[in-house]
Amino acid sequence: MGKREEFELIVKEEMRRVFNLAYRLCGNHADAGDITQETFLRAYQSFDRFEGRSKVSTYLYRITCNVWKNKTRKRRIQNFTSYTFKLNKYEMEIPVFDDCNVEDNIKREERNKIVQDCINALAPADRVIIILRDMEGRSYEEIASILKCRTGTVKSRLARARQKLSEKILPLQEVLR
Amino acid sequence: MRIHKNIEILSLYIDGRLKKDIKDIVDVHIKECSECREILLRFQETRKLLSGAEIINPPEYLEKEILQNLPSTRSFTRCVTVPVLGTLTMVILGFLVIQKNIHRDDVHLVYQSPPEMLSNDVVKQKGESAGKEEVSNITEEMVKPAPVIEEKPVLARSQMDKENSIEETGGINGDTVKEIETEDKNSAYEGKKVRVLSSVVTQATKEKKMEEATPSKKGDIMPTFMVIRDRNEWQNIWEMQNRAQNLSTPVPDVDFDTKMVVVLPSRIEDRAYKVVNTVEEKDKVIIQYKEVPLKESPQEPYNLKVVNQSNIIEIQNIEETSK
Repeated sequence: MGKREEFELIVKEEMRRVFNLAYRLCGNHADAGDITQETFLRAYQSFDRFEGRSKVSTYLYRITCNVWKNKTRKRRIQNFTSYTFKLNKYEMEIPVFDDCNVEDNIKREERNKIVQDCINALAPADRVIIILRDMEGRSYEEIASILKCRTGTVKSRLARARQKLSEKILPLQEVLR
Repeated sequence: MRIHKNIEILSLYIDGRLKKDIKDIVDVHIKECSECREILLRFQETRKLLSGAEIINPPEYLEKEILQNLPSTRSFTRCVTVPVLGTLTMVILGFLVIQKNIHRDDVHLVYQSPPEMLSNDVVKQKGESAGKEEVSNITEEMVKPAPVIEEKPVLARSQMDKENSIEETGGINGDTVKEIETEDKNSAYEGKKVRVLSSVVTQATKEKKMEEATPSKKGDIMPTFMVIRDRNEWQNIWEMQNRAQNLSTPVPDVDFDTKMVVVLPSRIEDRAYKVVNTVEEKDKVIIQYKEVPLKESPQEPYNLKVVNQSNIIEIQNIEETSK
């Protein structure tokens, strides 16, 4: 199997996870799409250097986090104050509901939005760590590998992030139920 | 270790990352401490909310876009191989061209005595009687030897370039006779056949000729001649002739409808040549020359002869012929 064929399989298998992580990190479909694309492009360019010592998903998550960090940094520098809402094909998507219970679907959408808003309110360093642990279910060691930091750092940061998030999210618990 | 309100311990507790002995202590503390129990409950609730968050489906076209945007392996290979191969090709071609030029220059040094300096002699036409024409040679008033010639004559170069089209046809007085066919429209030959006595060098005879050209060895080197069939070339060569001698004599009028000018170098390296006679036959012109001492060599770099238009021109060394 050639490099490209092998990578195409990886795209098919991992794209959903990468997109989800990107979406949780940036909070909107447009940026999540961009980040996902750039992640796979970078991964492909450096795929020859991937030695397989970590899982492919860990490798992709690490790139996703770096792409997101760069994007956030650029945006903060360029147009933090004059950010205009991007209306493109991603935003124009109409959510498709799985069943016909419209009321339940709306509630679910609302709950998702509230959770995401609370995550977005966290500092980037806290945000990424809580997403990786509590949403993606990654182990401490994997998170340390993705973020290139020590496991001890992951532990302390995660506790701090949980503390902050719980302070934001719990007052809204009634709405979420 | 402090357990009370230690969020890191509590965070690790809900993840099951505590060692058994510490976990036992925390278990006991939680039962007793409502504040820590509260924190623990908040953490668990939060985690539950997050882990229960819906998975977001990426847009369907995203996968297609990603795959389309991946750089193709072929173009990546091309990026690397094409410049490398291109450079190699250029180097090889450059090497071959240099090699070819070196060979050419060697031959030219021996056989071409390109004219750069010319005389102020005037071509005179004598007796324009029907079909036969005699023209005085400019070389009669030669005083000083021509300076060393460095530039190659255009026509001679053209002749050399066409060496592959040369066919050996026979010989006169031991010299090789060649017929030249050229497709060069700008050339004086203009597709006409010209007979040359040993004046054209083929690749096969280069080494032999180079030996002959060595001054220490005796032997006849036939000078390369040129034929001028149009006024522009005639004007050019005349201007060169003038320039060589700091003169500005007007270009003699030659009717190129019926005439042509045969140009023979006056000097080739350390040898000097002088045209002594011109024989014009029905469809052939014979230019007879002899080798003269350098001191007697014509001042101008060319012997110029205006003759009737002819497709066959022979150059004879009169001394060789008489032997």
